[in-house]
Amino acid sequence: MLRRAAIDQGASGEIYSPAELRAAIEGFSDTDWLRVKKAALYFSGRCGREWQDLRNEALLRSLDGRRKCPKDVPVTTFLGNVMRSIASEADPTDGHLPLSKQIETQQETPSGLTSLTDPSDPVASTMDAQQLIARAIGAFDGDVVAETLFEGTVDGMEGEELRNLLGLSQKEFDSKRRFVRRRLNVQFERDRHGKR
Amino acid sequence: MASDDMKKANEKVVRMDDFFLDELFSTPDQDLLQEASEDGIDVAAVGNEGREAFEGAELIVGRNRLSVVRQEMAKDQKKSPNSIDRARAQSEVNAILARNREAQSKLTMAARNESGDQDDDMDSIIEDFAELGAIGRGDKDQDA
Repeated sequence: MLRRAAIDQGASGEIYSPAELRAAIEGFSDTDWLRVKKAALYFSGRCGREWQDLRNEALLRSLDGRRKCPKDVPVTTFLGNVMRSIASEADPTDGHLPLSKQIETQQETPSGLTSLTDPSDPVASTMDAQQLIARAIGAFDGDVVAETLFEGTVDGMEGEELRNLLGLSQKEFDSKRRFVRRRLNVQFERDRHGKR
Repeated sequence: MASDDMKKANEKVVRMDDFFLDELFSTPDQDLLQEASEDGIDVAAVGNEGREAFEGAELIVGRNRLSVVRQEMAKDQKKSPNSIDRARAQSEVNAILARNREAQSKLTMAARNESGDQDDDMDSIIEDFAELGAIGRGDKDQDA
């Protein structure tokens, strides 16, 4: 949540010029590219694009200045959010999560973030969103702690509150969060292959 | 009711995505490398592929920019010398050349080295002089 807050704050702050953004991406390490790939795999499942296509489109829109990155946001995080936004542009008739009406405006904001709270097709959206959550829960193979952590998170519970509810130490909690994220990655990658 | 369900479902997806990105981008490199090793991922290959994608995107962006520049130049070319009152411009150019024999000689030699015909050369000279402000554009549109 802290990171999201930082991105929102960035909307009124300084942004990278295209040249600065280019230099930042040019300096990505292997693990930075791995993060970008994992984010692309996660979001590509819901929009019917190949993950490489999603990543490439995000790079293009960033390099040509259509998306603006606040200087206080890590460029990898920014690219992750650009892919998130692009993934939600897909046509709902293809079974993809639909666009928000305000998406084009939001894409031009510095963070490149999008919101799915004002969908263009409510029925398709409800079904898609519910299916996504159901598929995510299916990723935990009956691991009750992971499921509770996930459900608490998507219901809006704060970290400390959730950690106390689960009765986990900070280290155990961090480890379980990582497990949940990893399972989500595997699940949505699996879905992507299933759809193809 | 359906609207409430829709809102709640979408909010959950937004929070799931927030969680996923927060977690992914805050995972230390060391942990991510450990994870990749367990999953049999060649991290160096992922890095190389990412860099290739970046170079490809840069090429496309550069090509698109060049295309925009070319379109702008084509627009400018359409505007010039056809829109200039050619007869008046040519008369002004001739007057300048008549006052400056050296310039005339250089232009004649330059024209000989060009493969285009004399009219094309004169169009080019008129445009150059107009750009330099040595002669008035005398645009037909403006005169009309």
